[in-house]
Amino acid sequence: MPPIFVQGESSKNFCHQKSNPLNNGLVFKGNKFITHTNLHPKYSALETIQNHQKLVIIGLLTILLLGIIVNWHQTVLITISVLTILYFADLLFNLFLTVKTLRKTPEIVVNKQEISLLQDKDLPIYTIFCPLYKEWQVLPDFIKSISKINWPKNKLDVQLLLEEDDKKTIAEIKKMRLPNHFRVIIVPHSEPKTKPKACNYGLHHAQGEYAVIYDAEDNPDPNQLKKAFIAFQKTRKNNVVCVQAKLNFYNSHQNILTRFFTMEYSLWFDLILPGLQSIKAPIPLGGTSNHFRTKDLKYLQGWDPFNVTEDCDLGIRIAKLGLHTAIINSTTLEEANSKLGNWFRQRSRWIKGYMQTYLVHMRRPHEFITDFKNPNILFFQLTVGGKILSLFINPLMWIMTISYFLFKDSLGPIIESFYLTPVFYMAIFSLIIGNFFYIYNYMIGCAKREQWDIIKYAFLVPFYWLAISLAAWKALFQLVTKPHYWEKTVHGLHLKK
Amino acid sequence: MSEQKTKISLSKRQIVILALFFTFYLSIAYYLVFDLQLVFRDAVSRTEKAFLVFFDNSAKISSIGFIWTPLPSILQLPLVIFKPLAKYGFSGNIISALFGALSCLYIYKFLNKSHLNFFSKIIFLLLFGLNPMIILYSANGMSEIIFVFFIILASWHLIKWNKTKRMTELILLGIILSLAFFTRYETIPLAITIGFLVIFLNYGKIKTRFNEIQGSIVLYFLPILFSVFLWIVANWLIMGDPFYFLRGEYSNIEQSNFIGGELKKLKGNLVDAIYYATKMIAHLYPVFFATLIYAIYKQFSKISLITISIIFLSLSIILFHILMLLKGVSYGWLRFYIYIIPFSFILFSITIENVRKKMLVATLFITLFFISNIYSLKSISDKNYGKEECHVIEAIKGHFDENYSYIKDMEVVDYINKNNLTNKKIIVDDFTGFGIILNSLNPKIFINNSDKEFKNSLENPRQYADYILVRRPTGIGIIDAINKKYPDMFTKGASYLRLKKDFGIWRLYEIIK
Repeated sequence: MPPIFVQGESSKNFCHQKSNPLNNGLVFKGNKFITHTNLHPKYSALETIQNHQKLVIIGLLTILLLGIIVNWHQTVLITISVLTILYFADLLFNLFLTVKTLRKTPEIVVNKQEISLLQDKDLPIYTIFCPLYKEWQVLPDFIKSISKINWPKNKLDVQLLLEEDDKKTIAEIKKMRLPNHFRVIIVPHSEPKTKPKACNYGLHHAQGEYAVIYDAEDNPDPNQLKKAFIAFQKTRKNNVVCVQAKLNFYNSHQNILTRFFTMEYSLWFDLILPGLQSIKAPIPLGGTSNHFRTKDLKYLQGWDPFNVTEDCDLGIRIAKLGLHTAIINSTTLEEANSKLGNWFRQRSRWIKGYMQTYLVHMRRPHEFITDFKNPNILFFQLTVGGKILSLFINPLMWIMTISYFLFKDSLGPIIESFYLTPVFYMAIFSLIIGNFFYIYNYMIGCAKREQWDIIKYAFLVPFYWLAISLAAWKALFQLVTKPHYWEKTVHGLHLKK
Repeated sequence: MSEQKTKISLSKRQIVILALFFTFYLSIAYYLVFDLQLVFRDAVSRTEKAFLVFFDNSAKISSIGFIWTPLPSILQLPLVIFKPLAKYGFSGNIISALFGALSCLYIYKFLNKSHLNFFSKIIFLLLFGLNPMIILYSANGMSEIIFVFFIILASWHLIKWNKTKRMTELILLGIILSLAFFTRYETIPLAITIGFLVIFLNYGKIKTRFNEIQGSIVLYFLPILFSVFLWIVANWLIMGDPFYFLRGEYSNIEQSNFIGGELKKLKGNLVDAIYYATKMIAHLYPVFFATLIYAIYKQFSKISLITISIIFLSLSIILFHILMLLKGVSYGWLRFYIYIIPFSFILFSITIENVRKKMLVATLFITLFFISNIYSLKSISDKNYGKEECHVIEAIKGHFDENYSYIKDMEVVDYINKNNLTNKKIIVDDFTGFGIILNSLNPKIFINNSDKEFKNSLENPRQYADYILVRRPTGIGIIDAINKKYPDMFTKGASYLRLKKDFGIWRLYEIIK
């Protein structure tokens, strides 16, 4: 049964896009959800997979099974060929992005002089959303970080979005003397209890012309709001509705895990995303530090409360509407996950979210094709679909490669027989040049950010890839069993050290 | 870190320079190959390797083999698909012309930085581009000019890196040198020297920015080390010996057994080896010493770390060749010293940048470069120095050496075609028979080293082939696989063989089944 809209506190079975989305929600399988958005369920991860998608997957699996029964060798050969071509395409695409970024920094660069020319009186009100759940410990640091922000305080609207049932945080905050530009917004208790839902609620209370999300442990560049504001002015004619600041970590050196995490973020935010921006591809947003004009955000219907990577989903929705995201030369420092278990929870949630996003947007893939010159559907496959697929396939490929070299005499001819000559060269290229390039790319990302001391750890990054692949299997399991479950990441671990 | 753009776009003037030199070198190449019928055998061998990738019995990339560094052959792959371009190894000549023109372009870019007037820059550019040695190697299909280009490019990015400290330059340096490694092994001293220079040029920061230096070194060296690693693994997987390229049956070390005369005496004799290298440089391009001395002299008034770096860079390759002479594994060819020509121009360009009486110094150096070009012409004409190159001059004069032509190969090819042997199988070692295989444009009739059955066919020729083509066991013919297996076959044949045709240097035996 498809989900149906409910408006306000009533349970009318209709959808009215222009209505105030506050307290709007859905009824699905007898459960009532309050989402605070008019986002149509067809763009939501509420329903993980729709019937026609199930049919496609079952169809593909049946063909695969039949193929194995009829001619297993030919089936394996075709499967390997398809996978190899995908790998090869992904490698070429990443090479292309790196070259693009290195040739000319595609991000929007706002310099000090431009910032100094801004007059306080011309600045609009800026809303900062900070969703908090059981993390009052990091709040003092957040208040400190926000107080450093270079924006007139009387034009700041900082919303601390607290869940109604988070009594402890509410109590702790009551004890604090919050600055005047801080507001505490209590999100009424309802399902789903997710960060995007809290943000949707906050969006309807936003007083600012512009809005940004920060996590409680974030330490943004003090000039970030001004840079984002100027970036919006610079890109007025380019359909830019979102400005994404770069993310990195303040505890990079805490342990090997935080170093890996840092490398990954440096690669993603300093090389890949600017590269994606340069070709106007869909940009999966980072969890925080994405800036919007509030009216645009409302036009986009805020965030999908059922998607556990609502940021990635929003980035794709932006692109599908023919709008763009721009990257700016400003960084928000976050806390890198320093405990393996905590990292594992966070990572599996992210991968689950990517899978949700992929499934949501592949329900109607034709929606990507706004005009035939626009290859967004291809970019989406490479940045989201390919990324997920590679996590599952990587371990199998590694096993096959290692087996080939270890048991070359016995297994070698069988493995070789699965590869057509051109496919074999692609596979060899991906294996040798690809693996080198991916490791080297991490180093380039670190060097671009001048994290010179971390570069050498890139040699160990295959172990990190292995951990990510393990997290992917957990994510798949959760996608089936608990698709909307938000595994909370514990913050402030660096403080406990 | 600077956010500026890495420019690779060309101005109209640069495009004209590239096009003119490319056309010029290609015309020379055409003249050499089609008018003089003159080829350099190493160059043809590289083309044949590229050709086998597409047209051998079992078409595969590994046909490029490990006798040669692979990049010159890989660069020819898009050309040899069109068979006529492969004939006589002409695709190699085209690649030489391209890299010769690219070298001129970058020399011009260096000259652009010297703040000389346009007229002077063009004169210097012509002095480089029209140097007889540069002309010859930009037209003959050998790997030297590709390496010359990489040297110029590496120097360019080293200087840019020193100025901007942009890591993109460092990455490019690493990639350029990893490609250079796949072109010529002289890259190794060059890469190590640049590695030291990356530290040296950061010397003042060693204590404060140790991590930056450490990171820079990893970033720079990784592509090069990866290339070396890749080459070793490929040798191991395909040939069963990770160092096959160094010590295989066709390697330089193996071929060095044929080194004799004056060169043999240099083994273990440092003074003589230095003297030999100096003598070669003095005869090929004496202005190198002038640019070197002038660059050093300028250091007394103002120290330029980058000039010192380029001096070290140029010396590193010379030292490498001295070392090879000392070890007795170098043929001491004149072409091993071609690199001093671009280095002379680079040193001159960066030294004159801040000189006051620019025109006076420029005029002096124009004269010196001009005289040196005459010296180059004399050296390549003199068989005591230009042992290989002199054959070109001799051919122009009408004295033709068959060893530098494809005429003998074509004799064999024509015989095979006329006698309907194109549906037969012929065993030949492509280390010596590459010209025949390539110029037949039908390599499938030959069982050669790239074929899996080559070794078995040598063991039992009757089972695999109809004919066997043997090279006279003199010179490099001694390490021909057939002669190694059957040292008397060329002269005496065998009980199961019948001499079908004697071509002088080749003998074709029919296998009696």
